[in-house]
Amino acid sequence: MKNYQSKNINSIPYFFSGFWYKDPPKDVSLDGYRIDNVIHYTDLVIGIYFGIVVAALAYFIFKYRASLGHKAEYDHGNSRKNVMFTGGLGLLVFFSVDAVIEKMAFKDLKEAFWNFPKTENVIRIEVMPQQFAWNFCYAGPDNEFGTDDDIIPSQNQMHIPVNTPVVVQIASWDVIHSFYLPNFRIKQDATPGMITALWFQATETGVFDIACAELCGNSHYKMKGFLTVESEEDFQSWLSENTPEESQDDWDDWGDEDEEDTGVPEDWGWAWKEIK
Amino acid sequence: MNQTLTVKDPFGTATTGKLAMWLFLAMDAITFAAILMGGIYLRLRTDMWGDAGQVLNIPLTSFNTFLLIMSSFTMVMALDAIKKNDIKGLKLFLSLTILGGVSFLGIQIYEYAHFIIGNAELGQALQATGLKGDSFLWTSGTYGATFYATTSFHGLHVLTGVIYLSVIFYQSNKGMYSSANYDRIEIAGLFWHFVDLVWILVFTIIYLI
Amino acid sequence: MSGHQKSFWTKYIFSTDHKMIAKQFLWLGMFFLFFGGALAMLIRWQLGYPEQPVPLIGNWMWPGDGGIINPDIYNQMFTMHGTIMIFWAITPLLIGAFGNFIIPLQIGAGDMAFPKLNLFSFWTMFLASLILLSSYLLPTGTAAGGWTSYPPLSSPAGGIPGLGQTIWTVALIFMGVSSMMGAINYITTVVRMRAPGMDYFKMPLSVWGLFLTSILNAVFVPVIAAGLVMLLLDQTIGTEFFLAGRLASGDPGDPLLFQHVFWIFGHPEVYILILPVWGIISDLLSVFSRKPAFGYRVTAIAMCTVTALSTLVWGHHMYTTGMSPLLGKSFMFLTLLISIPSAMFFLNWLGTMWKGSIHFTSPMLFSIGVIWVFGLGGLTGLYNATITADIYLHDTMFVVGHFHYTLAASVMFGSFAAIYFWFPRMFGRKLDSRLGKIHFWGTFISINFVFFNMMVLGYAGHHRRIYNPSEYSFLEPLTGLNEWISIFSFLLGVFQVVFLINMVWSMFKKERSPQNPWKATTLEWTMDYPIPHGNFEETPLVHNGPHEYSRPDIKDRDWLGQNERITV
Ligand code: HEA
Ligand code: HEA
Ligand code: CUA
Ligand SMILES: [Cu+2]
Repeated sequence: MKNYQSKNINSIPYFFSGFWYKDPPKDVSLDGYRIDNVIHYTDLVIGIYFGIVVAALAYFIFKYRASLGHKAEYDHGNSRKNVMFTGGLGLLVFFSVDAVIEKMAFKDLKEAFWNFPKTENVIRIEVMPQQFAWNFCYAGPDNEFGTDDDIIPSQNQMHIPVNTPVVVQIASWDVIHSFYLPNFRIKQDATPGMITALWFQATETGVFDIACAELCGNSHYKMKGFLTVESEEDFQSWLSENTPEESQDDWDDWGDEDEEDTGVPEDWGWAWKEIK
Repeated sequence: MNQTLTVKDPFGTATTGKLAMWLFLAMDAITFAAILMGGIYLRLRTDMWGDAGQVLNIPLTSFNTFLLIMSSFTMVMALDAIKKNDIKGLKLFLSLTILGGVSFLGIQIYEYAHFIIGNAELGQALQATGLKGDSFLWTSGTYGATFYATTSFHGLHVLTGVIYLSVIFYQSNKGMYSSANYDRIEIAGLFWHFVDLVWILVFTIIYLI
Repeated sequence: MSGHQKSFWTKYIFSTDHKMIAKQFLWLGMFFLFFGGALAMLIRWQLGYPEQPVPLIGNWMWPGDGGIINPDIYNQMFTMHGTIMIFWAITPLLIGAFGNFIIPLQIGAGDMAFPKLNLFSFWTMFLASLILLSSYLLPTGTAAGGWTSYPPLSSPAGGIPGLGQTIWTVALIFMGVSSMMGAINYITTVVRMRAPGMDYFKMPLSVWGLFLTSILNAVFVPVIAAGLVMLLLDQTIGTEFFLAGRLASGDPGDPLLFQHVFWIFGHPEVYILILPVWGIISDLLSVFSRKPAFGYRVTAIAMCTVTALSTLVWGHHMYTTGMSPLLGKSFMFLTLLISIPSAMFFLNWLGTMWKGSIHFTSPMLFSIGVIWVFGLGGLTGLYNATITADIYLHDTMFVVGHFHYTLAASVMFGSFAAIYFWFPRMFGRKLDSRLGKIHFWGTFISINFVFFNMMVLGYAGHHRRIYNPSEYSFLEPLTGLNEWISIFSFLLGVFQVVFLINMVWSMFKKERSPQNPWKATTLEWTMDYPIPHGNFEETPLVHNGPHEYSRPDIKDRDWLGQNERITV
């Protein structure tokens, strides 16, 4: 087991900075800003409304405390005026917060997250998580999945070129997992028996974490993969290193005999599902 | 002024016990609805669904359905009898109702046994669906699972009803009921009619469509 | 009714008196609240100090691992923590204990409509508890699939060893049966047993909350019961309702079916837990502001609206499963609609305090606390409801923070308020108010630190149900914060011990509470302690609404009981 070093002393500054704010992981995606924006807008309006609530609460507590010795007003708050007031404020909240974030969200879904790229220039990748690792599959020279020349790199390694849309289709080998890219602000469940999809586009090179966000067993916490974003050339050369033959060797290396029949087979991959 | 102090009751003259039975039946109906809708959901997602006409024995089950409907009818007669203070009639119709329930269960057990033991003919019918083997089990795909879950859950209700009615019968034997006191019979009747009604739904969904 | 002799057994164990059953539920709930709380402390230890031996008890509990919690145990801990807190702590406390105690008393009934059913309901729950706890005796340990227990993970093919998951399912089925019995009883009681004059719109809002809760229970517990039975069949006799892909041996079922069934129930379930709190808080704010509940009818109707809407929004837990866009958008819209009625009764709470005369007793402090924590918890629900934000936030600690604010903080504060308020009716003594203040401030400060920062963690990407957050490089900057959260949750734990001491100590203290210590108007305060079996000597006649405080037309006191008439 890994030995963990406590950071007792370092943590004192976190107390102060952490209480207020922590940066999310660096956003390296084309559309991640949209999610940050909707969250920030919600922060703002909710902050205002909650501020008003707290201010009113504090004022009432101070002004109407019984120790001042005044009598409460006998008022059921049932008058038309009162009802209109609460109803009006309810609607105000709805239109200033809910309607706005709904509009932002629907717009972002339409323009980005649910708007799969139609151009030719896309990288298509199939993802098949298993307990507890990530398997990836590239179509290979013939651009078709489920054929002999599919490229299956070693486990937990996903490479993509920068500034190119990437479409990912996901199915699960065993239980439910969830493909989570914190630096890209997206995740998508991997459910056995169905194929789900997402797309994204990287704007910076580097190596980023792939996490599993759905409880999938005792090693869920370390079901970690690595997403390498690199230049188009580096990507192509990486792909060519992973020729089909070689990747099959990789598969033979993986796992011990007992697991042979349960592991993902060498030639996995499904015919690409067209997304409408 | 005091006479204005009443409780408005939206459920009219139903007794408390009857109200509770209605509530229970509503909850039970939701459970059945969940199971049936789960089955429909699974059915829409697969093409390996058995052809009821081939796999299941529809004529026999239709007869069973008829039996259950008749037992609902005798239940009405039983209630009618006690309203006229006719204890003998009550006991007669109650026992007929119980008999109907028991026969229903018997036929269901026969049907299950037939499926579990299996035969070549059944195997062929299953094969047409994509299922393997000569016998039809709860492990025969989601089709088998749905069939057994739904029908056995209903069977459990019939069994409960039979026991319930037997208790009522025992009590009427002891002279607990009269034309002034038959609320419990009415409540038991509600349950029995419900079991009958649900069967018609189960029959339609599992056997007919 | 009350005259004849009773043995120890019929008085304390197999009692049909709703007040005694309420106390049984109370102790059952308290036991599990501390059990679940202790699990939370261990969870926090592991997250704050990953893979370090647990102090004091570690070597004794897990000698094989050198006192370190291992990943299997960790998964079992949050699974049982969630399950226990929701179904075995809050449900018995709010619905079992207070539902039983106050419904008959507040509507002026002698007992529940079906006292025997009530008895069975408790003992079924008790049996369910034994079944649940028995899973700890298995060598492979208890369930580890999360409180949501999604198949295929929770079916044998999913890889969790042993019978723990099966026993979990069975325990939950029994628990469901108990809830259904309770629901039948509560609904019938409210519909049938109200005292003359007690119209629906004269019922205290606590009763409204509990009534709506019971309706939701009646409608949705059957749904989960059906789902659990199907899961149990998958777990035991080899059906494959929820298996697909490689794990299915033949024709595939569908794991998503279980998720739908679970959340069709699961979303209403969270309102099942909070509706009683909303009602209780609305009443208590009125009592301690000495002012009628502001907009009583609006509050009642808003609560009904939330109840109705809550049945249509379950999909917001499943945005990332790949649902169709149209469905996703409808779920988002419906979810957001809930904020209108919520805002309305929320404002009414503030309205009640406005121009009141506010007494800061312990129950009032906790009620005011609910305004704060439910405000934050509810508002953070909006981030989750937003599909785009939820793509990022789903299954992170942000969601955990959101639901601890609504569930743990609001519902626990509500339960505390209720216990402080009705303790004199249950045990004839008041809880110590100095300890109560310490309990409140300690809890309020530490709970906010803990749960607010969970949301900070989540926004920083920290996903949930992970055993060791130091596995990922993007979580590196969060270790310090995680540790602080843990420190504050231990503090939170210490203050709960203060509460337990207060409860046990006050139960046995000499000084009796006056009959109506809070000068409340509702019917449960109209008789001497101990309240006899049968409650009311004669059926009360109800003349007034539940919140007649500070009426200008009575001079010598500031309240008018529901059964009183003004004599001029
Ligand atoms: C008692 C419990 C409770 C309550 C009341 C709520 C209330 C709400 N919840 Fe929450 N929720 C949970 C318990 C609860 N929730 C749990 C347990 C989970 C996770 C389960 C799991 O995955 O394990 C969850 C998860 C959850 C999700 C899924 C997240 C995910 O998994 O990705 C979503 C998404 O929409 C959501 C939304 C909401 C919304 C919109 C409300 C709304 O009802 C909130 C309405 C309230 C308000 C909007 C605030 C009050 C109003 C104001 C403060 C007024 C504003 C001011 C003025 C008028 C001036 N919740
Ligand atoms: C009503 C419900 C409820 C309540 C009250 C709580 C209360 C608390 N919960 Fe929990 N929680 C859930 C419902 C609840 N929770 C659910 C549903 C989940 C999801 C499970 C899942 O993922 O499946 C969850 C998950 C959950 C996690 C996430 C685990 C993970 O995803 O990895 C964490 C982590 O910090 C946590 C912490 C706490 C803490 C610190 C408290 C505190 O409020 C507890 C208060 C403390 C006590 C009541 C302790 C009493 C005192 C003692 C026992 C004395 C000994 C202690 C000392 C002296 C220090 N909870
Ligand atoms: Cu895979 Cu979690
Ligand atoms: Cu929800």
